[in-house]
Amino acid sequence: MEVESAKIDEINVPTILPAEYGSFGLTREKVLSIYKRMVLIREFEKTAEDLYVTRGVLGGLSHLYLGEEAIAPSVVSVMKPGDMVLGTYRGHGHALALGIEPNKVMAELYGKEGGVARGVAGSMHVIMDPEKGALYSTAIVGSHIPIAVGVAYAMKFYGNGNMAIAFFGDGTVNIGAFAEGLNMAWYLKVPVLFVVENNQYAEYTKTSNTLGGGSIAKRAEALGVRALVAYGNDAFSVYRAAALAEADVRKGRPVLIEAVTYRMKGHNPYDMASYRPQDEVAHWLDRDPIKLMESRLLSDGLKEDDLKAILDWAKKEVEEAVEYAEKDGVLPFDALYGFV
Amino acid sequence: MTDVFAPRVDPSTETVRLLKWKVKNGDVVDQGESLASIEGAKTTFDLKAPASGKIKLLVQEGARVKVGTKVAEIA
Amino acid sequence: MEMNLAEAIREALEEEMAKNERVIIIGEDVAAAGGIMGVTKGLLEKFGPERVIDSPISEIALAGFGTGAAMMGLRPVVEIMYMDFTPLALEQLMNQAAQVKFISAGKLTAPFVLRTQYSLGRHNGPQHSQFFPSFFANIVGINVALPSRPKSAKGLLKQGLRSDRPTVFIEPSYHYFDYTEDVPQDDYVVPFGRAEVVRRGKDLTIVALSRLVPEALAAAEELEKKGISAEVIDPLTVRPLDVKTIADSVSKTGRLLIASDEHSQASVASEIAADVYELDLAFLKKPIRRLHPPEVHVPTSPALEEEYMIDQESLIRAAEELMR
Repeated sequence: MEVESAKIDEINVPTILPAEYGSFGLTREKVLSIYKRMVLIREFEKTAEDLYVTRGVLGGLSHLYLGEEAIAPSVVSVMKPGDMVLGTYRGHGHALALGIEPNKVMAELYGKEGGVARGVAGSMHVIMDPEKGALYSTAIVGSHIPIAVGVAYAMKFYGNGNMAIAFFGDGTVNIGAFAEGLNMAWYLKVPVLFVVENNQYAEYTKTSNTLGGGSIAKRAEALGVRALVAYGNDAFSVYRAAALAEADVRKGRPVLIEAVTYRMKGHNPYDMASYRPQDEVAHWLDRDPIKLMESRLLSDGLKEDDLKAILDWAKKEVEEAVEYAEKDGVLPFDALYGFV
Repeated sequence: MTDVFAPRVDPSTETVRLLKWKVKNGDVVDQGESLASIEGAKTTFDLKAPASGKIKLLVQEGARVKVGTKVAEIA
Repeated sequence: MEMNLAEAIREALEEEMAKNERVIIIGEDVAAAGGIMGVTKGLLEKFGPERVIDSPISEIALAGFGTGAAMMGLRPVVEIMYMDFTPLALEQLMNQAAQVKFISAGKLTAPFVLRTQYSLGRHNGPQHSQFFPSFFANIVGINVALPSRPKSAKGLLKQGLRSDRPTVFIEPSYHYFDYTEDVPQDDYVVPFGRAEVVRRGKDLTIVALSRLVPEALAAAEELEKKGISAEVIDPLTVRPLDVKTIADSVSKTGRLLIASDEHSQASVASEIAADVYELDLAFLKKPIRRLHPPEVHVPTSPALEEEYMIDQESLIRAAEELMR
């Protein structure tokens, strides 16, 4: 497929130009739905940070999607019924983007029985609602990649035109399962879309310091998987990449989208990320994906009041989710025996 | 009035130590201003003001408190 | 019909694949070559390349493939060529496949069969001969089967392909071709968690794992001539493990010898000993005895390997010691 691209900021590879309204199925309705999801994720994650760190109400590990909100909602908006998402421990954004109720996600964080996995699996495994296309997530970096290949093989076997989508971070491209999984995907010709949320840091280490060959996209191509680079903070660029990739993927030609983005905060909410240079942080905070969407929507004729209404809706959803989770009960221990 | 809580600074640490206050009782603080250094098991956390106003300190320097304890109020 | 262990395994695969079009096989050299020892010979020709797939050398991807395909309702049989390579796939098995049902709070399962073989006795050396079922027997949420003889092997593999848990199926290639047994041609399964008393006796109980089952039976024949009546038990699966059948036997004989190709420390044999001991100390006339190979890695030199391996003689000696 031919793609027009240009250089953006410090991303030194050709990057997909953003889609225009009306192209690639990007209707006004779709744009608004993506934006609503992004705002919901932002409010949810801000509340999660408050719960885990500021007030210390919740403990243990959690990994927030702050700053990456443009990616999951844009990619999942090209899904058809029967498509499946597999993701990682940084999965709140994907769960909400797929339409899993905030109540259920919050209850899972609280370890309550109304959670997506009855409170058993926690923050690192909230991508769990197969009917909504949320199939699985793993807390082990990259393990879901070969699993996604198996899922996609089954879809090809059944011949229903579905695809599997595996989301993961830039650090993942150095793990064995990445190389084996991508190679296997190419070899078996399966309908799997890989989406790398390249926030440029693998936990506390700058990825470019440990990335042999210097490019995630090139590594994918070396493994037989066509790669597209998108500007991860621009939902329209990510959307266009997903729309372009989709046709190839469903035909059994796996594609990898490298969406270049940035974490607003640390690897987990306790991590102050002091290893990132101040000017770099400021540069990327200036490119907030939500603000970028808002300027597009406003120039398209939406009013500030409309945006505020969406923000108020999102805040209310999250508030109710916290209330729901606080009141909810805990699964009786014996139920666990039914899950092995 | 806005409450200021002792934050969770490591995933599973249930208590933290208020190492040092950077403001005095009764000071007027700005939202985002550094209020204190909080020490966890392995990290030191810079506690910032969640709101602007006059601060009332509720906990002594050096105190070890449970995560989530109110350490100050801003009015 | 008389057939050897390799043929019985192939027949199980063939029958299940004919019955259920969702059963697929993937592994290194399983398709075009029919398996490095011929166990899957002819299956590619019969069922086609969509269902019998040659894989690149990627054990992590193989196990992950099995997990994902099974989650979507296929019934993959993933072959890992030598048991020594299975640790590469262990992460997928223990963190992913075994936990799918837990992480989904019961909504999803990943029931694939992981077939592998250990080739102790074939002079293949330290990294191509190892037997360590305990690594898998310790994982919650999976089955671990030790097919030892043709008839039970066929039924166990069929059971694995109908179970809703991932199953590790460890074959002793030492006995793939060396003898035949009468294997029923009808559709039968051997349930998991039911040990088989393969020979009745009254003086001592010999529990033998995998490759050692035929050796234990041969040893029992010799012991009979010496006036010692040995009961031989084949656990068939070590997870779930049928302790009751073993304990019932020991309560009758009072003497227990457990023979396994594993190294002794933290072995399945030590698990069996602990389980029997926990049930009742009173019926033991002598302490439980475990028979294991020496604490070295498997030597390649045929003479050294022969000395390393448990055989009929060492079983007889151990049984006689237990009778003193």
